[in-house]
Amino acid sequence: MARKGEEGKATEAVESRAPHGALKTARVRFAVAVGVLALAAVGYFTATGMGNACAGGWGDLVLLCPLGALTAMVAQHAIIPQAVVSLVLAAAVLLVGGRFFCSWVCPTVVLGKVLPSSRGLKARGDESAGCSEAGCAACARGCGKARGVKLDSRHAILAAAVVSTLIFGFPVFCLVCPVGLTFAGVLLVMRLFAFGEVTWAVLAIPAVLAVELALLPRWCQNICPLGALQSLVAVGNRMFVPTVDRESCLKATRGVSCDACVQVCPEGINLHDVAAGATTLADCTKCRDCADVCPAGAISFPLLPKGTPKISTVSASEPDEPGDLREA
Amino acid sequence: MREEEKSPVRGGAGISRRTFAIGAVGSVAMLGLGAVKLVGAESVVRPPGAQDENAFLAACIHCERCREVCPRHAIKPATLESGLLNLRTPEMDYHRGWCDFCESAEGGEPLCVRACPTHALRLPGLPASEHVRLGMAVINTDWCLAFQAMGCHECVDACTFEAMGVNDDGTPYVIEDACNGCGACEHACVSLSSGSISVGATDRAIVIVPAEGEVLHG
Repeated sequence: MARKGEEGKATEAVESRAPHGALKTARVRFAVAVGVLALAAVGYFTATGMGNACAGGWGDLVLLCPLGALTAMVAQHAIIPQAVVSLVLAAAVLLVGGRFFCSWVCPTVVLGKVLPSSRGLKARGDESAGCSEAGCAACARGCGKARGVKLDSRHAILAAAVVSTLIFGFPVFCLVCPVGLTFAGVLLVMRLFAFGEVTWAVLAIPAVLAVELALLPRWCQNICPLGALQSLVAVGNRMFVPTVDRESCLKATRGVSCDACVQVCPEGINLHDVAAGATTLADCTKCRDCADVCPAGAISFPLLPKGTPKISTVSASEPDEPGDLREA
Repeated sequence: MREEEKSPVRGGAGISRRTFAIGAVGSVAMLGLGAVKLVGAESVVRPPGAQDENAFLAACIHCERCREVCPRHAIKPATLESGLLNLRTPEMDYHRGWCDFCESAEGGEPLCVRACPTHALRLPGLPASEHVRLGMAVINTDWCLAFQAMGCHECVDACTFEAMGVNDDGTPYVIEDACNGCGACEHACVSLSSGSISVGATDRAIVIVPAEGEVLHG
């Protein structure tokens, strides 16, 4: 997935230090996400049964959406073999690739470009960086933790979605899930043209998507329970973790007040000081925007973690156990 | 449980007032969305194995695999018109195909039931055609061409489960005990497609209506 050697990256990166939308991996990611949608559309058209993100695969080899699998079992009060297998597989994928789905596959990557002034998908930006720069009082004892996952509104909504499913007895979030709705929208438009099937949903689904992604305050960062669920497992992800080479980082070597990587991170990760960021590396979606924006080309996504500590955890409180989710 | 999750002050930094507000509003929205179930939705004719509506809704994640595998294209995604709760759930589409329960080709287990990854489609027994009733055929005598003495008997010919008969005057009738809602009759009905013969007709003259979770015992 576009993971190249770091040689010669520095000069390139300086030249390409451009606004968010123009980052080069961002273009590749956009193409991949469009490709996934196109693949689903071709599947719909040819009836080859490759499915969508809710349940993708062929024949009996089907990977369910982890949140769908979980809530379907909660609603049924029963263990469903296919759902359990899917959850295990999804966990394995998350441990290897982290939350890559969110920035490489999720159709919101495509919608983010299409929708006007998509506040929903922009970077966390200043808010997250503010803490470390202002040197707030809280930072005296560490702004937060550097490991584990920082629980936020997404996790509360995830919990509420599961509780609601338990109370009302159906997978509640599926009704408004932007991933499912996007695939549904593609299908409805195809059916509109193929069979002349006219329904209000053709207008309602894009409207709901627009509200969710453009009007609500940053869907992916504040609301998405699917991302929240992934972050809980991605805590254990140790591969392809963004790593700052402290030999070449301008901030580390020359004390330049460069926070390009912090500013660009859509998830609010602060690579200079993870504890100070809004989220931890569990929320990294491997989008590579930080690597692309770094003027010194100091950030890489190595397959396996280096022997030495990956990133500065100077002001972090004692590192938590990776699996510990209870502290926020 | 939710209250714990939303507690704003644990860990000191971390959670801002804004994050707390979004989490609280979002959580309430999730619960409100669940209440859509209480409002209910129009009942629609479901694929085989989905006749217990509550059990079906609990398990269906709207993945559409049943629709994709149906060899007769007899399943469509339900739309908003049949209720928010039904959006994207599978509904029978007898205009495009009818359900032979895959008995001729697949040894009795309908492909949609086999494909459903979350057991939302689950049969009480095999063969499916004897154990489930998708719906019930109902004739609209105002629109039916046979009732206008046009001698049409397409539906009677199409029925493969001996659930239709013809009266002495040539009009068809449904044998309700034998009808399992396969939809062959509705699929075959020409009242709407062969020109606007019946004034004011908005649908075919024989349609399958939902059978309210009825299960046949065979």
